[in-house]
Amino acid sequence: MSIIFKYVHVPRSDGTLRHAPFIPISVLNRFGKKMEFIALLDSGADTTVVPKDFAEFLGLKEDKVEIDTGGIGGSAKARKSRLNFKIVGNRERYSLSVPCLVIQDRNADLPILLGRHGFFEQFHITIKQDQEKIYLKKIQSKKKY
Amino acid sequence: MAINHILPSNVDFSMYLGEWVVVCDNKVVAHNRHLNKIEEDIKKCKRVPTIAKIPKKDTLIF
Repeated sequence: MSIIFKYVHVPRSDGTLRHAPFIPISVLNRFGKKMEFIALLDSGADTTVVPKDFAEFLGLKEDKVEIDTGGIGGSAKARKSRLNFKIVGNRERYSLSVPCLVIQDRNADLPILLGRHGFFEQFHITIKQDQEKIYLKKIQSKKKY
Repeated sequence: MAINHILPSNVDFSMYLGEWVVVCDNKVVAHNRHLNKIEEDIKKCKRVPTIAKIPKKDTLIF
């Protein structure tokens, strides 16, 4: 069984809409309240990347050592952490714990990016651009990341 | 199979560029550039809120 999500339409500054494969991740904040955040599926990213204020909001523990990370969008200082969340469908829910990088620049204009490591190994992911749908089918595996 | 719609399609999010937006019961109940400033609004949501960062720039690829 697959969990199907419809694309999210995110506005651009010029008034047009970007149709992109965002999916909801279910998390608990540092006080234990359940909420959903919208995260962009990013097959080009090795690792999940999150903004600093999101990490603080959830109470994520960050490494003391700052590292340089980068990609096409530029480079940034980051600290390693781990993000626990659930993917919830109508009849299925899956708990995941993936490594992530917390971008230290508080002014970085960054959504939550779900990268490959720890996430893409867990699901068969099909993106149907013409239908604006994302299919997640859980891979039954005992491998941990 | 059921399709999960994540954000309501009838809400215009273009006025929230660069902000965190909290959606509860298909309505925007709070928005701010800083996530910690909408924490109280999130606490007040009776249902599970959906929170999205609406990016300012067109593209940001890591």
